[in-house]
Amino acid sequence: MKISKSIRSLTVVAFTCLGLVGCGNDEKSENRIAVENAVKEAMKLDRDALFQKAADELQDGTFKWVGCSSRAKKAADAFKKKLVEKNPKCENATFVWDVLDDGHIYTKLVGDINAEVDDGYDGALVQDGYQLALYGDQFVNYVPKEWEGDKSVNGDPFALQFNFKTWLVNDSDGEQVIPDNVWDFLDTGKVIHSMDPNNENVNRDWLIMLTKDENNNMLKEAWNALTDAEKAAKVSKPDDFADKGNKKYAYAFISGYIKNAQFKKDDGEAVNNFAVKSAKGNYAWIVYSKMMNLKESDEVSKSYIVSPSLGKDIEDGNNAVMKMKGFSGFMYKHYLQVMPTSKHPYTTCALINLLSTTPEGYKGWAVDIGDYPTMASININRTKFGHGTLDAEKKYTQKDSDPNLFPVMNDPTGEWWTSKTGGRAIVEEPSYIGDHYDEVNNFIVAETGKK
Amino acid sequence: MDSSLAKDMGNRAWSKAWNKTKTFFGFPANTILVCIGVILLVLTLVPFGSLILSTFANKNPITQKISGYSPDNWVNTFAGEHSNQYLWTPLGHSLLVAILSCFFAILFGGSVAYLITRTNLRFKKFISSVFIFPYIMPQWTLALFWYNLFISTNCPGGHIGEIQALTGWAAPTWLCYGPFPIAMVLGLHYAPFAYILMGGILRNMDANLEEAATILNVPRWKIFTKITVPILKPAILSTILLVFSSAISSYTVAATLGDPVNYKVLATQMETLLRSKTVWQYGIGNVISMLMIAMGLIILTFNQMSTGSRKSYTTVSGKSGQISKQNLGKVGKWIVSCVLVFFVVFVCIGPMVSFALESFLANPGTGDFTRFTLDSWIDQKGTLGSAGYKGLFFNEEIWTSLRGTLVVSVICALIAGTVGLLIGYGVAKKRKSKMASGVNALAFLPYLLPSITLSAIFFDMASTFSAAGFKFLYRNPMFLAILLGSIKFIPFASRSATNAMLQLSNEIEEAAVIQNVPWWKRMTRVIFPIQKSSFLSGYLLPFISCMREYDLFLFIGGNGMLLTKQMFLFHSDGIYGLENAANLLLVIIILLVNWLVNKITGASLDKGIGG
Repeated sequence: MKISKSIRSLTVVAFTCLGLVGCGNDEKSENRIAVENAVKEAMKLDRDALFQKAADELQDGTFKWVGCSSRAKKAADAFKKKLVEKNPKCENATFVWDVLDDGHIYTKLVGDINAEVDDGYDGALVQDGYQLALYGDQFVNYVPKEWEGDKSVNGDPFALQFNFKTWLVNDSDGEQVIPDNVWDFLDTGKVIHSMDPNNENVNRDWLIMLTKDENNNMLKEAWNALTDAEKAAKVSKPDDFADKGNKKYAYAFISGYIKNAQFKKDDGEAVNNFAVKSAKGNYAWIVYSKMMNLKESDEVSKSYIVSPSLGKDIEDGNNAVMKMKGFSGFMYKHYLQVMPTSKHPYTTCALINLLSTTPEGYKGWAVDIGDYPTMASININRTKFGHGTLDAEKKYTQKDSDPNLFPVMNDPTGEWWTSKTGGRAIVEEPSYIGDHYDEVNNFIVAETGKK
Repeated sequence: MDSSLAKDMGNRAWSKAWNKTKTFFGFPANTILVCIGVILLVLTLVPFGSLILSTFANKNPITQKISGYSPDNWVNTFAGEHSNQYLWTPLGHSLLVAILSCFFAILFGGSVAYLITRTNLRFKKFISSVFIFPYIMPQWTLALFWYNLFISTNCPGGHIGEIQALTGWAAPTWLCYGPFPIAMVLGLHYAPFAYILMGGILRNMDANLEEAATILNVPRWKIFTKITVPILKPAILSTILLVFSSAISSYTVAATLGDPVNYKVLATQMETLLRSKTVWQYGIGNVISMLMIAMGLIILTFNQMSTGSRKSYTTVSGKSGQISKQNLGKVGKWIVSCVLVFFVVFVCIGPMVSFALESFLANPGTGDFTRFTLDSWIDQKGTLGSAGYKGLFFNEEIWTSLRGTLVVSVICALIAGTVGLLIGYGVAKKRKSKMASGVNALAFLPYLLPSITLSAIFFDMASTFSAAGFKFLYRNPMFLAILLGSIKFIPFASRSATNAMLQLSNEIEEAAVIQNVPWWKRMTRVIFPIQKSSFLSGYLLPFISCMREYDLFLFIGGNGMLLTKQMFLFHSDGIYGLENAANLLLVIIILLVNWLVNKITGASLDKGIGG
């Protein structure tokens, strides 16, 4: 009896302690105010003056960055060099470049802010507009003075770039029928290698975006272009979702995609299973840049892969013509944010400035197809990225004037992929996703349950 | 009443209580149980309480803020629209997988332990050393090994795997995906548990009982079922307890071999739900975590009832150390030995060779063995992955994080091992008392708490304390990791120590007590040396588990703090070759530590069994 009483009291104490987790301070902390003021000032400074401020601020301190992409680290040397030029003490500074997936990065960052730490991450690269729409107001937004992008679209929250997820087909024997309609991916018996929507929320965001009127209409148009026999071969048909009214095309597509998809933990695993010679006839819905990881061999080759949007024999991305009815892919953004708990707000702004407005800062992404900066001038031309030669060890060297070895790599510009006359890619809209998340998510959950 | 009389009575009562307390704490076992019990009560009940609270909370999955309490999560889980999908179907799958895993683990581990300790098998040293490899390796490497072996063009979305490439035979889907391969891989991974626990008893078993039965002409099968198996009962139950709980909460194997065909078990379903961004799904995820713990608690209760009711399972009495060995026959011993060597080489060394090989492949993870490279080991230019990492030998991040992993693992092993040993001692000495069973159960509780949930709870606590002004935990993630690791891995040590202590006859220590030998000397000079191998397992098991742990430290510190976190970074960047190289480094270090402990102390995980 006594023991149970003491356990009860102890539990109450423990619960009370844990209950404190829910408590927070709504008033702006001193640190946040200081960071906001520093960022306001940084927005008025040109790059040179900003780096001077940053170098004097950081000196031999520790700068901590976290992102859902590790590529910011590619700019580490250039960043440090610029800081050291302004203040030699920065030679002894320490830089931390951490990575967390979008399923956990917001928990960590919001946790830091709630904990009012003064030595947490200084800045972050985040994705998933949905979570940013919900919690982005806890971060501090900085837009570099030199940035030449469209402020109304990408200024708040500040977007570094678009990432592209697209449809691909394994045609290793050169005899596969390449889909000419996006509904063809839903043919009975086909498998789509894809990343699990539960692992990264952007894989759910595009499904939600399908229900937007203009995207639903695009699917309707593509459906109507199919013959009756083609329609009968699909695992999911719009008429089965008549209760969804006009949006039955979007819901039928979501349902069919879930039925045919084979979900992997990440895009890397998906591309590894998809790009093997013997996986001919398989489909994939993956990040376009993941193909860059593949090294040429007899068993695995980028030449086996076809983008149905660009066609089998695309020579030059500049001359791309959309070969498929429907949409070519999904563009989602990477956002750069300053943490209100930052000890080094000027340094964080300087890094964001470097990454988003200079080719040397952006080089981590520019080397790949499928990443498109919001300031287009810092990107490199990749319209003939599939032209080159293979040496005896099958190492690939790219050169525009060489033969077209990998047509799928001839990447048109981001503008082409998203244009109505080009790839008609669906673009992430945080506000739309936020407004329709629960409704479409419930449908996704139900369809996954039927799988 | 006269005031001086009252005072005198008060003094006497006080003095009586004081004397009682002094007597109580005069027994080292009582002091140990009370001290450790109090610490464990706080450190395990807080996260446990937090989890219970979460099952009733409308908790934001991202900010972890609670907006109110209701029974909705429980209603949604058991009687909601998605109950079948989220609970009943995965529950059925989990039970099937866990039962099959226990069966495979006991079959493989028990058979090998018996053959090594009780027969005249050849190559004992080799088999004994190698058989623990599957436990040392992270589960997902075994799952990938299985996948690469059996994936075929018969499987949905499949391609030609190793078996199909070698023989032309395309394995059916059930051999590559679903309950059978999941249970088989988990059974192989946990077979060393059965091997260590059952082998320890078989090795130390007094042969008098079996010899008496032999003299009485009892058939060999009857001796085995009526004498050997009952003596093994605590070890079998401990194995079932550990394997069942581990298999139920195992995520990576089911994710690799189940998810592609949508074969969801509770752990993968829980992971999915805990990753969701909606309050109701997250709530169901918390209820499922709780259910998984409840299942573990039920098994634990059975184990408690079984060990509590028995009179004695003493196998080390100090009277006879003789073991009778079964003769496999002149030809038989070679046939059995060769079959066993082939089996352990294939199952235990195969995966290691496989992922060592993967580190030399240009396209790791694709099954493409046509192009090799040394880049993952010796690249100095920083050409690996989009972030430009150097090869393992020149990669600063790997060596720094390895240092962190070693510090955390060694300290966790020392703490968990010592605490476990003391718990084992206390529980064995006070076997009949409620306090002993309470502490024993409490010590096992962290094992049942899902790692990822523990990580989130401790991160949350550190964050709460930090907001309240106590920033030490938040600022010292290494300390937090050590605290978390020590708690999580105490069950390994306490199980192994309790089993060892229960085998030890009281008369051994009593002889030293009569000689007035102090407690610490009895522990270090008498008890520890006798059961050294089992106790050292209690240090080595937490060390090994901590070295390859990732989920537990997910929210604690940055990527550079621990090697497994650094490996996650490589994985997310698609640098599988470097990840495999780092993994191989981790396994080699664990094997080296095992070997070093063996050389220095003469005991190790496998040596303890008698290889």
